[in-house]
Amino acid sequence: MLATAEFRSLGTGVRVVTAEADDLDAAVAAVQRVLTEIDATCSRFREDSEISQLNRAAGRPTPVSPLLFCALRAAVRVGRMTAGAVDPTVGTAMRIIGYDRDFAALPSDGTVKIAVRPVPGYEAIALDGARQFVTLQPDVEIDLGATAKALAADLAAKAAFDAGGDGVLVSLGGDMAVVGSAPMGGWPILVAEDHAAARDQGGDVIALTAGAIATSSTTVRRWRQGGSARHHIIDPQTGASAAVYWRTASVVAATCVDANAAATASIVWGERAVAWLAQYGLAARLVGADGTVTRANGWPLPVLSAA
Amino acid sequence: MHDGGMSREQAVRMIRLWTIASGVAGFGLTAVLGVVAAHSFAGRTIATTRVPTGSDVAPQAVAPDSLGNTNQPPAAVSGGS
Repeated sequence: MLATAEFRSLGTGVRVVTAEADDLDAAVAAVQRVLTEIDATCSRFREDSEISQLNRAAGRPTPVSPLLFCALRAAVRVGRMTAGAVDPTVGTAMRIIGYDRDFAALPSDGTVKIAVRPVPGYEAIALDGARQFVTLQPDVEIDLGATAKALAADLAAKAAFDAGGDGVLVSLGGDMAVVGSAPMGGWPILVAEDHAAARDQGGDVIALTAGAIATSSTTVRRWRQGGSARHHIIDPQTGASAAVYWRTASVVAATCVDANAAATASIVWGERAVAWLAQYGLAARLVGADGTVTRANGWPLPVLSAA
Repeated sequence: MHDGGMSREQAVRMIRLWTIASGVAGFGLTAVLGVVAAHSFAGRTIATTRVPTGSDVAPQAVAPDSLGNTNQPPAAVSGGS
């Protein structure tokens, strides 16, 4: 019998599901510990977070905690893996397009004139693994939003399993990882455009027995600035919100970090994403700007539609 | 005649042994030189980025339960956030 707990953290909805009801309390406590640590370390919206302190120290070698080093290493690896399509040096660009605070606190329509430019690139981050020091090039500002939430899902799911769970699913705003024994037939997951919308919104229901799934979408976290529509997925080549070829991309991979990277890169790359996903055999569900759904690389055809 | 025949057989045997010994020595020398060369020129390690693979975690269609029902509620929703 599946047991479920829901709460909010990292500015999004968190859902913890265990295969056995008796495991739920320990799993939730383990997940909350991880998320509290991630928030204190990686949140760009907290002045006292470790990433904010690192951003203020750009240009100087700075010692960092093991968790921040792990998060930065994951972000740089994702940058390399996606040839820069998902890049952690988008902090300045995020601020320029108006995403400089928790999404819930954004004004409905800012009126600031903006001048966007390409982001510096992950090469502007020097990681010294031996001393655990990080050096950002001057004026470089890190935003780990693309990878920190996915990393949190991976770490939280493992922590919940290590806390004694038989099988656990952890979802952070729709990016989720599963660890341990899955329920018979796998974890049933509705894949849709908005993780917070009603469960009859339509989409595919798939079963996952291991690994992770992430969805990136331009249909959520949208706002207007100076009369123009913005969304939170930055194209590092322009520094502005990515052009919409796929409005939503969902990818299954071994880890949530990889799934999130591939989903976000798919939004940035547009049509080119199909060949890249095929190269690595990543099952994906891509929703075009007109709503047309493309299922690729073993993504199952919908036996059951929630619509 | 007898002494001359023995000398000829001995010479042929010696040549055969010499040929075999040369082959074995050449093979051994080649192997030794190969090992020495491999350790003398360490070369350069090409840094690679581990890439994601999805083959081990492929999603499945929802299987019907023991009653043939596929309409079970999802454990979670993956969507934009």
